[in-house]
Amino acid sequence: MKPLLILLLSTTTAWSASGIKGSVHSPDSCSGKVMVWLSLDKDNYKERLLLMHTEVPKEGTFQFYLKPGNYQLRASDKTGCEFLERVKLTDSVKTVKVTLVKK
Amino acid sequence: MKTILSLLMILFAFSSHACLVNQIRIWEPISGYACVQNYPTPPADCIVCQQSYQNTINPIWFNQFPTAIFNPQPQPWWATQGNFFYPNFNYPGVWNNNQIDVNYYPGQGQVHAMKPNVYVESIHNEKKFTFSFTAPDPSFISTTPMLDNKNSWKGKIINKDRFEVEDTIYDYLFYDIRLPKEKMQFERGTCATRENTIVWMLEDLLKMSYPAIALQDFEEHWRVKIPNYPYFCIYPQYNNELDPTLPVVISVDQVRFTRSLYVLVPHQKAPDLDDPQIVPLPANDPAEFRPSGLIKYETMFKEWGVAFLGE
Repeated sequence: MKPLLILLLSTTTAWSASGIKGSVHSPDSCSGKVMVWLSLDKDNYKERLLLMHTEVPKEGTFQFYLKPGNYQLRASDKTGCEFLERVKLTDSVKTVKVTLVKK
Repeated sequence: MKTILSLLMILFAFSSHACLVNQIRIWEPISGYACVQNYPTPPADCIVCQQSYQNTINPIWFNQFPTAIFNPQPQPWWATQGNFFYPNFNYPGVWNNNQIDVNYYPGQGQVHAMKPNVYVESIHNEKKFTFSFTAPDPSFISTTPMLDNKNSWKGKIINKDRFEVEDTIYDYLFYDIRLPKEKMQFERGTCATRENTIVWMLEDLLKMSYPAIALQDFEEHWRVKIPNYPYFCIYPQYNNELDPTLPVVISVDQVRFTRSLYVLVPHQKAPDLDDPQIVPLPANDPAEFRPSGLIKYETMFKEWGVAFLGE
């Protein structure tokens, strides 16, 4: 009975917190601080909505708490280094390694 | 007789901290606080026009006005990029009907605190700390760095004024969160133009002795992210409201946590008591509840944030 109870509790925790956990990495040729942008596209890409953005230092971490859906995770710095990934979220926390590259 | 009575009323309103019935508090750099029946339209909501007006009307005041942080800054790099990619970039989040559109965010609470930043000043060059949100189920929207499974940040204060968390140095700790509207106060505050709203908040932070980096970050971020409405009413939430609503425990000796969150309610025209309002127009002075900036502790955590209502 005890293992079943533990399993139920851990499942509930996962449901209550969906989103993205990320860590930011960039080569030395990029600038230190990175802006991480989270948006979604509506109406078959006719409208783009920025939900939130956060400044993260190199090797830093961040977390976005989100409803399930299709999102666009973008990261950039002032020297033109970039990262872009589409993230499909269900009822869980997805871990993303944000590695910028020089364009 | 009627004229004398009106003059006495105006004199009383200007000298008092609380406004009379059917009045609201406003603030502008020239006259400071005033209780008014009808909001006086300023010369213009732009820096150049206001400076010209201030030079004409009150040159002494203008010369004494603090420089540095209140001057307009060049666009930060991230604003140029944000404008390029996101049509709603100059809003604090997804925006609809003069408010945050809550449909796009998880959790509960009509007050969207879109960027509380936590700064530190310590006498210690290096000091371990744990910063824990102890509410049972806070409605976070985002955090930097990520919290652990106990909703805590653990690390070291280094060089007296920076955080080190998992070997990475952060200028500040950051979170976005939804808070219950019924736990916030909407009686004390003031109304002003967009520009004067920013100046008022900066001056309020100065009175609480926020560090220079906190003021610079505040101005850089909110000059860009406060939407372009002509007027705002400001409802400051200090420790008095925030400590019971979103309790925090900091595991450092001799520590003080100063909190300030400004709920901004935009207005398309001068706030008018005769118009229906989402929340009451402010009528009382918030200074009574403003945390003191004079008392010093070994380690001072200070948090600023700006919030908007959501529906």
